[in-house]
Amino acid sequence: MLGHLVSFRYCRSLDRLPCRRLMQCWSSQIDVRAYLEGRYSAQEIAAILAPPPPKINQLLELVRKAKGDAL
Amino acid sequence: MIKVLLDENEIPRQWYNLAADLPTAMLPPLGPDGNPVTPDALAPVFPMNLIEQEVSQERWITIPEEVLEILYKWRPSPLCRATSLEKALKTPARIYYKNEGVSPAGSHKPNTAVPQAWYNKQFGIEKLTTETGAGQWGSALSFACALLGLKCKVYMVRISFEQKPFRKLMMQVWGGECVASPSTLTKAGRDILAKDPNTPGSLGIAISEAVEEAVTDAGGKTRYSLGSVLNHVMLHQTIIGLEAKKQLAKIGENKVDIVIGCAGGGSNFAGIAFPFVADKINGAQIDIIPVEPSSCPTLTRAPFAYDHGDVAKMTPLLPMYSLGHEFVSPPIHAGGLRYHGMAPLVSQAAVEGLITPRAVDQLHCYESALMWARTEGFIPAPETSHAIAAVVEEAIKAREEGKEKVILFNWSGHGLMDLLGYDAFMSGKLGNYPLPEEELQRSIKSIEGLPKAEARKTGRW
Repeated sequence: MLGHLVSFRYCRSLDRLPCRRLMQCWSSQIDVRAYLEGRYSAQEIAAILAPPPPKINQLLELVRKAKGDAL
Repeated sequence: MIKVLLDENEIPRQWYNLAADLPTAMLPPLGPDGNPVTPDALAPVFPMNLIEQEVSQERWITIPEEVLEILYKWRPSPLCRATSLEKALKTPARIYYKNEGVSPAGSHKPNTAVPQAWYNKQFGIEKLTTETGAGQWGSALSFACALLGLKCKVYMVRISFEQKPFRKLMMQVWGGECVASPSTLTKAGRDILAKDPNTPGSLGIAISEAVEEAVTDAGGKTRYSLGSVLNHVMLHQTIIGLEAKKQLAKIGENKVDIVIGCAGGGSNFAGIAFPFVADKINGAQIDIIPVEPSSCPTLTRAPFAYDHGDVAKMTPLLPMYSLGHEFVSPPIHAGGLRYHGMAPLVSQAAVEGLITPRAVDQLHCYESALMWARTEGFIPAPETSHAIAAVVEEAIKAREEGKEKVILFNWSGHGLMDLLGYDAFMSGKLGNYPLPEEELQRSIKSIEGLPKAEARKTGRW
């Protein structure tokens, strides 16, 4: 999506949690599982690996947050 | 015959809406309260005329004349026959492609950027915001806004802003304001920068900033625009496949055997494929193939989202490096197909079996792209190279079977802004990195307690 080379460091430290595509994009090169298990709880790992909500829901959540922040 | 052109008066005058014909109706997205999302809920980000398209069940939606007046600048796009590639492959297949690289922004993206800008303007909106990674969508929207007299603000992921300057410059040439994200212009951006002033940014942060700017415009004259995934985006792109049908009919090609498009968020695939999916629903025998990267599959191996993964056709395992080698692991090319979510209409067509997703390796894509450039001349975008790789596979298969198949695909954009990806390939810096099957299964286990998307289908295909 970014159209250029990115490092593992970028993907693992993307936001509060690593990118949810971390497993797909990096597992053939790096033991991503061991990396995650060494740093995150089972609950956090499930959150990282969980499918993204539908785009509409993501947008609604951003709207809710932006409106809340604006108050 | 190399090129099939349509006159302007032959351009399709309606978009095709697959939602009207899907054998299993799409379920509306549910809000946090468990009830279907209402159009009003989307009003802070989209104008109501686009929201109406988003939820429409009408099969045909008229393209406004004023939108066509702008699309005529490059549409109808040429349908070309790849005769040189056919010769190189010694295939009896006839390979046709829609050249979407002829648009001002160099890709299919303006097909929806223009109508989105137009509908916003009709609704009284004066400014559009969006996010962009590589810059394809940001430049397309900047172009559309320039022609329609709207302001355009693009939040571009900082790491891309710094590494990919040319599309940023394209946006600026078209009058768009391109800002590195995170920025100090929004609360979302400031919060991130307060934690990490040197953050490279992400698409998640960029979209937060773009939405925040639209939502917090006290005058209500700003809206947000998205270039993929949503139903109205798929709708606008169907002009590609509708034109192709007319062009094929013009030269007497009455039966298409295979339709191919690359798939990230789904819009260019939907554009070429959905009119043919309609034919398939009505009984036509067509193989319709969305192509995605094996390194980041969504449709072919999607245990994370859908319970229909084709786990029987796995790519072989590759040796894994240990964590200790993290610092020497080669970087990956984060191309446009590594998208965090597929269009619901495309996903449902896959669940139904109307389309047959395929994953291809990165190196095969670049090899195919070079073969294309050295036979047909045009340099394809790295995303487009996925479609070309599948075309090459199908053309070779036709040769081996001795069948004169008709293959149609979407040449979704040129790669003149993506030459560093070619450089990485030609200098041996890229590899094939499929997700190992063992890890796939372990990951499925990790999320087995989470709700899965329901696979609703008729079983007809």
